Parts: sequence; C-alpha cells; structure tokens
Amino acid sequence: MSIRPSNQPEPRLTLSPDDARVLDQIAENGFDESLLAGLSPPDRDRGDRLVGVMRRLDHYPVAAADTSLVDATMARIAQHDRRQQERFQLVGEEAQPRRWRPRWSDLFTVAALFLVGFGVLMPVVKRMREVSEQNACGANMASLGGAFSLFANDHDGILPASPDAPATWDVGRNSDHLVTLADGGYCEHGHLRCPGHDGIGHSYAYRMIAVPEAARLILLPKAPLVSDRNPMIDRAIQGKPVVNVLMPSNNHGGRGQQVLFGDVSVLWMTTPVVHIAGHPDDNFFLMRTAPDCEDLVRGAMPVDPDDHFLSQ
Amino acid sequence: MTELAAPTDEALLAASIDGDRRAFTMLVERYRDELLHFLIRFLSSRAAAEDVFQDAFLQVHLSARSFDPERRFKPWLFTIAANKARDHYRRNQRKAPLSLSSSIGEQGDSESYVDLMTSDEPAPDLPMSESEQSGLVRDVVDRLPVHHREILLLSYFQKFSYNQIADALEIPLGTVKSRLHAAVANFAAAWKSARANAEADA
Repeated sequence: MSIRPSNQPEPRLTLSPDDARVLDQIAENGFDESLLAGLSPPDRDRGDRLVGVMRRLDHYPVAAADTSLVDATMARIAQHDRRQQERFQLVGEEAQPRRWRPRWSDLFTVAALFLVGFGVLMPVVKRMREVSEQNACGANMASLGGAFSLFANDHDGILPASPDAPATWDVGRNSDHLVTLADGGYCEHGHLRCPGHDGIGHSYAYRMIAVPEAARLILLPKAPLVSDRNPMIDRAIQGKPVVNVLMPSNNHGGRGQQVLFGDVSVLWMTTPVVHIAGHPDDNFFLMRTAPDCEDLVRGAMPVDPDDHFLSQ
Repeated sequence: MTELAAPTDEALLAASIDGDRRAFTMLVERYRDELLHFLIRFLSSRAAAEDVFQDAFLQVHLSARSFDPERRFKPWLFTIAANKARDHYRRNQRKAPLSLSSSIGEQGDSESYVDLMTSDEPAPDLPMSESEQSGLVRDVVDRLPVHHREILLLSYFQKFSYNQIADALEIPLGTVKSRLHAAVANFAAAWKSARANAEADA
C-alpha cells in the first residue's frame, strides 16, 4: 500500500471501468442474479463480486413496521383535512358579506340623526330661500323703477294709472294701476309679483294718489311709490284689528319689505316709516285720516298730498 | 373460482381522489414496510423515518390530483419520500458523515479506483454473527455521504432504473452512473476497512 502525503487531498474513490461497466448492466436490471449467467466469464466474476458487495446491504437492520404507522398516517391526514376545512370555513365566513340586520337602537339612532340634521338644516334652507326671495323681490322693484321712469318719460311725467282713474283709486284694487306698466310693455307681468307672496292678488302695494296734479314722478323723489303688500289692508279686509302699527309686510314673513322710491331707488325696510325732512314720520301702510284702519275699506282716500299711503 | 386481481396503485390513488378513504389506506398499507425500510436506511433513525413516512403520504394526499396517471405510482411516491427525507436531513443537519476514502481533508480531483477483482477483501464465509454483521453494515451505511446512501437505496432496494433515479433526484443520467459507481466503491472500501478493524479487535 502506498503512503500518501498527509497534505494532499484524498482522491475520489470510484469503481474501476470494468466494475462500473458490469455494475451498470446489473443495476439497470434490478440486480437480477439470473442475468449473470449471460455474461462473459470475467464479467460474471465481477458481477458475482458486485452482487456480493451489494447483498451486504440486506443485513442493514430494519424492524418490521406495525399497523399503528398506517393508523397514525391516516389520522394525520384526517387532522390536516379537518384543519384545512376549518380554515376554509373561516375564510368563507369572512368573505361572505354579513347581512346587516337593523336593531331598534340603530333605527333610533338614525332617526335621531335625521331629526337633528333636519332641525339644523331646515332653518338654514328656509333662511336661504327667504334671502333669495328678498333679493328677487328687490330686483322686481328695480325693474319697476325703470318702468316708472320710462312711463313718465312717455307720459309727461305722470305716474301710471288705469284709464278710468281716479275712480278706481281705492283700497284693495289700487295696485291694478301697476298693470298699466306691464300692459304698456314697460315691464313684465312677472315683475309685479313678489316671489315671497304665496297668496292670490297683487303682490305689491302702490301709492294712492290723493291729488292727481301732484302725482308726477319728478315731484316725488323721496316718496315711497311701491312696496311689498300692505299688511294693514289684509287685516282690515279680514275684520281684524291692527295690533302693531309698525307691522311689516307679510310678503317676507313679517321681517320687512322692499320699497321703491320716486328716485327709483330700492330700499329694504324693517318698518313702514319714512323720514322726510320737514315732515313728521309717516307710516306708509297707514292713512293719517284713518289711523285705526277701520275707514280703509270704506273708500277712504288720503286728503293730504304729503300723506304717503301705499295700498294693494 | 378465480381470485380478483388486486387494484393497482394507480387505481387506488384515483379512487382516493374520488373520496374513497379506504383506497388510500390500502395504498399506505401496501407501501408501509418498503417505504419505511427505505427511510430507516436513509435517515438511520426509525423515529425520523416514521415521521417522514407520514409526511410523504400527506404530500401524496395533497398532490394526488397532480399525479400523471400515465406514469407509475411507486417512483412518484419514492421521489416524494426521498425529497422529504433530504429536507429532514438538512433540517437536522447532523455532522456530515465523512467519506471513508477521505477521513482526513478534502477529496481531490483525481480518482482512485476500486477494482473488486483485485481487492483482497476477506472471504464472505468468515465467521460473523448476524447481529455483528448487521451492526457493521449499519455503521458503514450510516457513515456514507447522504447522496451515496440515497442512490444506493434507490438502485439496490427499490430497483429503480437509472432513468427513474435521474427523474427522482433531478440529476443527469451521467451523474446517476458516476454517483452510483462512487457509492458502491465507497461502500466496498468502507466495508473492507470496517471488517478488518472488527477482526483486529476480535
């Protein structure tokens, strides 16, 4: 036996080419010893030796398996399947959309939220609508102001009046004169209606002309010509007494009224009182000669040309 | 009266896919000894072998639908089992057994041939009890590198062809041959050395 230096790597051990060739034949045929008979005598000897070497592997000690291994294997598979099934069930339950069933507390909560929201939103919406109507009413008045100017320009400065005036200058039908403007094409009929007034009849009160000669636009620059509907007249017609002489028009929920003046300016007023220099404060919803309104519906007319009185 | 032919492995597997749990049990019983012995020789441990046995059949159960019915069941089963055994071996990373021809240092590129016709191994009829022989074989096999042990078992005990071994181990055919040659040469040399030591001790 040759001595190999210890610092050299060990050579790889393998079969000699002849042994390897015979092993390939035997191994490819499942180590069938009957095959050896068909080999050449030298190869048969090699085959015998190779099979002899391999037969030693048979002595490797392996105890026979018992049936418990089969049971344990099947139990393990069953356990795995069970866990897998449980996992799928869990995933399935999570994946399924949960059907929501309302409880009474849910319904109460939703109702409460709805009411609170409604309670908060409604006044806001109402207020926005009122402001919108108030602005639209002011725009109507501005249009009427333009119509007054054009009409006066075409009619020697006079204010519009129906052809049979002054016979129809009476409370309750006074605003019919304003239709003259729309009929004459100076404004649209829609401009005669306040969007805040939801009743029938005309929406606006018009100045009652006590002295026809004085009813010229140029002579009344500070005088109120048109306003929202006169609430005193409405109450007098219904037979109700006037409780508050400063009551604003009902067109805008009693908050005030738009007023068109002779100089065609439009003003939002919370009280129906004008302050004109040299004259006492004048409530244009009341006639000086009929301060309690009882005479309003009986054909009363202002006798003082400075008495500003507007009526529908 | 003619005996009914036993169902083939492939038929049993097909039946188990259709939900026949008894068919799968029959399959496990059929390979109980053969596969367990293969795994014991591979892993040198009965407990580990039983564990891997169960793992292998669980894998068969899970992958049954992917089995190609045109192929044989046994090579497929042993491929799965060998893979599981290798995984188990890696997980339990024992100290790698040294090749008997390389007890010191690494193996070089050069080859050393074992020619069985010229080797002066002891005659097979030298007296040795069965238990002594078994213990010696176990020592020798257990000390073989795992890839040598694996290919010896598949070739000798399972009688796999070279092509089947190549498929099972996913290695080229040439590697199957060279690895088996090396495994047999190492086993022969190791046996000779172990036997000589045993006789010297006696």
